[in-house]
Amino acid sequence: MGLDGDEAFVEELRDWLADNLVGEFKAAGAVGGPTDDSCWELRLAWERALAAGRWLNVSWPAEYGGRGGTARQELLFHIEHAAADAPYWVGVQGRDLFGPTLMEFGTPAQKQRFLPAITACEEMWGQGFSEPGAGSDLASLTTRAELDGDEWVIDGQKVWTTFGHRADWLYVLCHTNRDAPRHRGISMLLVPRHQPGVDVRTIRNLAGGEEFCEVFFSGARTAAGNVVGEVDGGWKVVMGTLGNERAGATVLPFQAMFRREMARLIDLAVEKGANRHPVVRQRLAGAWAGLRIMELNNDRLLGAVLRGAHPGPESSIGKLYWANWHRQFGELMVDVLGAEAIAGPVTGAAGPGHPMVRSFLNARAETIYGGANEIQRNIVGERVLGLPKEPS
Amino acid sequence: MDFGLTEAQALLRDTAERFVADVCPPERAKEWDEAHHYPEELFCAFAELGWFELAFPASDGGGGGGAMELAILAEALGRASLDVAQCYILTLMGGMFLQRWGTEAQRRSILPALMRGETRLSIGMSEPDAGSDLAALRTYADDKGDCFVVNGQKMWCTGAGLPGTQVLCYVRTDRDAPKHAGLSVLLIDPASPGVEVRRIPTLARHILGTYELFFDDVEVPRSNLIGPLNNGWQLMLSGLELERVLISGGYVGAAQATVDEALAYAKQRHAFGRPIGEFQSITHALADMQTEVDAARLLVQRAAWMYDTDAGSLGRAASMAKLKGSETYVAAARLGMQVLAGHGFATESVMSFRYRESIVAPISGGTSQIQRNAIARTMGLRGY
Repeated sequence: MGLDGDEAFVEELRDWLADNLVGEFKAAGAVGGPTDDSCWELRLAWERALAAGRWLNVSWPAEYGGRGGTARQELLFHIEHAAADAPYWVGVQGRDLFGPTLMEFGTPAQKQRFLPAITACEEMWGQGFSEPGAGSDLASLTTRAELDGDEWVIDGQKVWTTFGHRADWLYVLCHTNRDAPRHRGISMLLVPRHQPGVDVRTIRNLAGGEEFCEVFFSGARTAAGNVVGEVDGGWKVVMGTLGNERAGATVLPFQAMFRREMARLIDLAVEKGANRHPVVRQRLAGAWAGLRIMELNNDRLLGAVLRGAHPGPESSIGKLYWANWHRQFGELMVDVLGAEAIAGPVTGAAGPGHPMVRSFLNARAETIYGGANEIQRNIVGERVLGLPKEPS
Repeated sequence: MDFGLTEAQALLRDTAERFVADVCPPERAKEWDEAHHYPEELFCAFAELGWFELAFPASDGGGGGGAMELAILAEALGRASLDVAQCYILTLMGGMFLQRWGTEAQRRSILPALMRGETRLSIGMSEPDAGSDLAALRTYADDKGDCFVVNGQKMWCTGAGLPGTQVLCYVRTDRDAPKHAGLSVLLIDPASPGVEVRRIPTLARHILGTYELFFDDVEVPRSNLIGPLNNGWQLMLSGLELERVLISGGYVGAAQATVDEALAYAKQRHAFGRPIGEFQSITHALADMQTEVDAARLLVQRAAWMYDTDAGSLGRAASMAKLKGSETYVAAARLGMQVLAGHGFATESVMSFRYRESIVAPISGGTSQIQRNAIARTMGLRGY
């Protein structure tokens, strides 16, 4: 994929990074990630600095706070930002998932109301999709919304809402039609979090983090107009959001993180003498090859996006590949660490002691969130290979 | 070839499984782990059932049980957690070691309290620079006549900080001998002057705890020398194989419980209008895993049978059981995490505890790499 154009854009960005990625931002390095709650305040400060420099949402129209740039420039920004070892921004849900969805399905008034606040880091978003009884089978959700005059009244429970405790708004899938078939009676509502009917609780996860939340709605309210797309037409909207989650520039921070981990693991193997073991050497070489394949998968996907294509079912191949790759890579990290891997508390605010162990544990979640491996395989089987659906 | 259990063995298994359900179900083991709680009542309950005495000859007040009975117990306790199984196995192995190598006076002074569940023996083998290559250890004990003066450091001493615990320490008593010679075993009380005990923060195994010991001119009475002077390597090898077999029993129990828990969830959790266990991708994965667990169990039972019947060299069979058992537990926990998905990733779940705990299985008690080396040696592939 030849990304050698837009030199002026890249030059300006690099100059800006050289001037601004300094002090505590520089010292922090590439902290955080799309599902990582750590160093929140510092990352938010960095995100606001990016916003002030008008580097956020490069391809969004200027009226929504963006630069009015091209998709290629947006991609170049992500590549340069990742290469600079800069802190990862915290507005992932709004910027990478909800924003593009609203851009595609929202009304002009909704876009005007919400998108500039996302770009300016003034409002954070959380996703209300999964429920205790509706994960991979999302359409079986039971959270309901009923119209009461000019407001929706929402009752139910959501789970795995990343950064839900940080959110100002939630984009929530609800049943809005008791009589419709299950895929057709769903709407995406925009719900303010700070109200009596919304209760957010964090869930401690295996890696020690608390970024996942449960959200309880009991008579929560939002304006009747806060529906994305058509009432009862939310399934089409959510498919767009999930497509964004599995494709586009959202893969780049993972890719950059994995590259850094790979480099650190090679250093560690040398330091521990593990690089002298033939089996470890072969696994490291295999991991390196796997990482390159992941990058090529991503290049192919991003190339398609740059040509104006919407991410299709092929994006599942990339998600399935990198999630599995990283899970295996985590096992290699633990093997190279040896006994050191078991040291460090899993309880307490800091989580497991060694960053590689945290990454190893988090890798379990990567094969689950954003569409579990089983769902990705079904998509590839049915929509890429044209195999018949699993018999019911 | 008889794969069945005797009536007595089946009774022992049933008793142990009921014990786990009543005294230490996995949920409770998880609570103990998270609270770093030392469950004194667990050790006392083991003792009340006579399990610590099971392996000892009747002449020492024991029950005369064999490796098969011990492996059956280890598997049943492993269903609670690996750490719970270790509470039993480590106490038992320490006692068996003393019973074999201790003097009459040492046995009389320590074994009765151990069989009552009041005391334990921890093992001090590994050091910062001596793990898999154990003979490289550098904790020195200088012979001063009526005592030894010990200096050095031990790592990964499981349970060494628990109340009433003494440590069987491998030390170098001859600085000039080749590295496998010149080792001895000393019984050291962690409360002795000059001993510093530090708990190592770990991902799991918080019931027994994992400790570092620092020795600074620690005087150990000569009467605490276990076995012959400078013969420590042989002492270590003597118990290693049985320990591998028993801990592998614990892995099998933990792996089986993990499969059972994933299976129960797969039957109960509905998606797309049916239990997720009806999807072939999950059905086959669970079937494969049950096959793996059965294979691991058979390796453990074969090794236990070989121990009891003195049927050939146990080394290879014990290493195979350890390799297969530990890696099967890891694989079962990984599958369980995928089946339970987000619910497994939340720390409220027992599955997250299984996963966290399983990580140490292929590392402690001889890494998988060490087991492969041992197996390869018996195949004429490695000379070291």
